[in-house]
Amino acid sequence: MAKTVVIPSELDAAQRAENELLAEIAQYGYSEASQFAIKLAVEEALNNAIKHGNKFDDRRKVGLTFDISADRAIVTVRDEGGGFDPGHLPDPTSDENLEKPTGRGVMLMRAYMDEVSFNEKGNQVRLIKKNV
Amino acid sequence: MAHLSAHPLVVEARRVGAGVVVHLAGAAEMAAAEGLRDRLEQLADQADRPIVLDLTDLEFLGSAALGALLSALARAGHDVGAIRLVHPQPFVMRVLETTRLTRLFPVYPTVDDALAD
Repeated sequence: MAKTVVIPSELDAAQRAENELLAEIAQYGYSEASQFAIKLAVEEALNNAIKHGNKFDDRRKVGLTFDISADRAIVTVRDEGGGFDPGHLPDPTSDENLEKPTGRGVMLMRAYMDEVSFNEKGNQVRLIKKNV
Repeated sequence: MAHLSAHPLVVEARRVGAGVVVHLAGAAEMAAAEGLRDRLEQLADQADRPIVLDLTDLEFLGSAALGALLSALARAGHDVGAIRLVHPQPFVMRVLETTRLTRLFPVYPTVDDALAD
């Protein structure tokens, strides 16, 4: 059964919600590599939602929904910002962008998860990791 | 499988010759990134070279913490080699390789190797 946690636009609150999710992941016997991947991708999604989506606005919330089973983990992160176009992001690994301190979150989600998809508005990301 | 450990980030710096060795232990999570950035920028401003980051006991590294390293590199004049990494664990190394940041932060097997180069 899916569980939803609604948090304020604060990194500490996001960290606590992330830890709640990871504790559930651990109960299903995911490998350490998969746990690391999920932690990384969820952290990137929450970080983006708070910083870029909600812009640290304390009137805006972030929704973290997770549905964990022995077969796969499905995680959704939604913010209350204006969204963005994930299809038009600069490549953070190109030489001209390599020294920029931001812009790696979506690339890391895609590198570490089996599926990454956004809603049309671009304010919600859905992450799937299979337990293999 | 145990819960992936996530100990709070601990940063300890010590001067060695003209440089500084910074031992990072625990998880460099998003909530710890700002403090890490401030600490590394402060060290970069003090012009100690090189800044050697001992990652032997670092369990997790996200993009917010990578941003902290890059901010410190900018403060060090974008000088590749001013910040050197030592012995990252395989999960952390994969993050560095996936982001291609090993091009900016050379990786060494030991602190002595990093200081001697």
